[in-house]
Amino acid sequence: MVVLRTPPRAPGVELTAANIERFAPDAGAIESAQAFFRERGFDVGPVVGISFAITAPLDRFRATFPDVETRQRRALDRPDAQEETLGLESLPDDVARGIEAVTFTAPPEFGPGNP
Amino acid sequence: MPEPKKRAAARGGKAGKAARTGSARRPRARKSSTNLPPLVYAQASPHSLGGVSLFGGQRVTSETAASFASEDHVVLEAARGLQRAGFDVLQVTRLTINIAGPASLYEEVFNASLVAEERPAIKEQGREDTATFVECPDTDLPGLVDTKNSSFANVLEGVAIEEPRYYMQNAFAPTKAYWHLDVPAGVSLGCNADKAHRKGTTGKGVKVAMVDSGHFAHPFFSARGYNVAPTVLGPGTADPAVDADGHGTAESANVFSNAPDASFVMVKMNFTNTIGAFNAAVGLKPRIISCSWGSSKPTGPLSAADNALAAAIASAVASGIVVVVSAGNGHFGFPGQHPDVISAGGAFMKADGSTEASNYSSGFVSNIYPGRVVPDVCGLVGMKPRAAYIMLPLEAGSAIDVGLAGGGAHPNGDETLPKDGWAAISGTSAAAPQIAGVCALILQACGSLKPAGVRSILKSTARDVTTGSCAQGTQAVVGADAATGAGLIDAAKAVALAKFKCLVIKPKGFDAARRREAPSATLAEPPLPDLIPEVGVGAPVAGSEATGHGGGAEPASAEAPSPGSLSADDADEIMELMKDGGIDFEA
Repeated sequence: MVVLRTPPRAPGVELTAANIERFAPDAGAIESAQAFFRERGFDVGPVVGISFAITAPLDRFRATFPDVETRQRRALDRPDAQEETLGLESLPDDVARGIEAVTFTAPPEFGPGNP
Repeated sequence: MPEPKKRAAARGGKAGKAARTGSARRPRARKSSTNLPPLVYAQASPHSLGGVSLFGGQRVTSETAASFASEDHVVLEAARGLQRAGFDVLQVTRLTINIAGPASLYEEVFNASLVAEERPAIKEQGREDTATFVECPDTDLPGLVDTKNSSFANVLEGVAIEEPRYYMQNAFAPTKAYWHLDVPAGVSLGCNADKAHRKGTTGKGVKVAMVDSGHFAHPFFSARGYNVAPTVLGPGTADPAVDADGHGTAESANVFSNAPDASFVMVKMNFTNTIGAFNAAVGLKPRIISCSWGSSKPTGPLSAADNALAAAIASAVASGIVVVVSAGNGHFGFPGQHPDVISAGGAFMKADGSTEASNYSSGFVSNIYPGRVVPDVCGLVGMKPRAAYIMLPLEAGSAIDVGLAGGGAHPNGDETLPKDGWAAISGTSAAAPQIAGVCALILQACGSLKPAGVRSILKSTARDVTTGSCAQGTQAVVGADAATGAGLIDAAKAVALAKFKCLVIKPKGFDAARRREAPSATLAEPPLPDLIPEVGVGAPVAGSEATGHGGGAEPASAEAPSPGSLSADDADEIMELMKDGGIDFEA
């Protein structure tokens, strides 16, 4: 998931239907981030809220985020910890500026396999 | 690589083989050495004790089976040899040795040739299709690899190549002696949805999306004529016809139990890309999204991914989509605790119809969202240890089908067969789609309601659960509580209230022809018999909530009773709710 930067929130303010419009990411940042990943060969999902999904084979992730495997391994070693985010250093400044984090979602703890 | 032998062709073997397989009249589509699967499975048969080969044409029955068994040392020698040759030895019995390997390995080791044949096959639900069979053209017997010309001649009498087989699933659930609910009848009755159905509110035209493990075309759905759209693949998923876990298929039956005419679509999710799948569901513009999954988040702060999911849900709800999420099975479920979702908890209905809090289901006060009590309302959920409670259809042989069957006697297992396509499961995974189904009824009755209005109706009309405690140990008490929320959903009452909220009410003597010139309609005080209900869907009144999402329900057919009109029974339900102070016009 590519989580986009949003206007700053005061501590304790969580994103809800009542305030989501106020914290919408910058339209220009959305456009440049999506264009960047599309050009690098990722499948780019729609923006819903403050994020969009990117999907690609591992080698494309490797080419864009050299630390992808280290971070993934670290996340697997510490399943209770918050999920790892990928380093944004390798992204162009104008793209990285609009991105809060690129992260993997952990599998759900209940649902499939544990109804 | 040995040259393929043509003995069979020379002896007219092909014809003989076709006759034996019963496929002589079927066209054999294609034969190819390039379409061979990467792994070929087979049963290697060590020489039989009785001296007669398993492949010699004699019938094998329980009476004769012993004579086809082999001596232990022969079996062992054969298994070791196969392993040394490079095969995966999967299982060893005195009758056969189950092996797997690439086709080229069989060809090399047994000095045989293998080809792939596309043959007509009847698949699930009688669907006519083709399937890939691996065949050895060197022998007369279909699927037999001769071992005579190999180093295994002294230990193996032959190798039988596995054939593709298809589950023959049944639209009828297996009967079991322990107390459980079935679908659609038991769940519908338990949620009091039957009465709403009888009055024409069935979820018709309301689009419900579910984000889960996939959807398998089980005959349960086709035999009842449910409206299931082709599965939409979320990012990073494949095989739209497969639900290897079984969860999505099973839980979707809960939607149809309460909303048999809803338009259902499954978005298959990759378990490490749940948000991507949720976003794909939003893109389909459903009226309702049902999520039977989540993670445990007892405290904040939320991670980047959680924030992304929270924002996706907030955005969906702001656009008018009702999002129903499971509260968890002892978890502090997220996103089930997000303030915009309808959080689904669990109530257990006993055989006498009484209810108590499900000790399998979550109930808690959120530490992340101040004042948020989870759940909002309950669906029907079983009890610990495994909540094996609702007999649901799923892909035969899927993980849940096999897992529950292997648990032994109820309540640790569901006492069904491991590959029968049915499993008794529940949890709040079942509650969410039951509630989603009732939401579909509500939105058919009053398409202009916003998500908060739908939730308010569910809470106003729920049946209080006053005994038992949830998985976190919180006791259910009289009134709303953190064990069961407002209680067990009541579909008939919820629909009646939704209709009432959507009524345009005018005083007697009002001239319909001059309606545009009339002042805005307002809710009048009861008694209801003095009111003339007129229009239903899409005409909000003061105190109800219009949405920019548009009416999600298709107009009801001319023959069906209008979902927007109040019957005498509906009026009774409304009067009862008013008497109880259950109607919240400000919701």
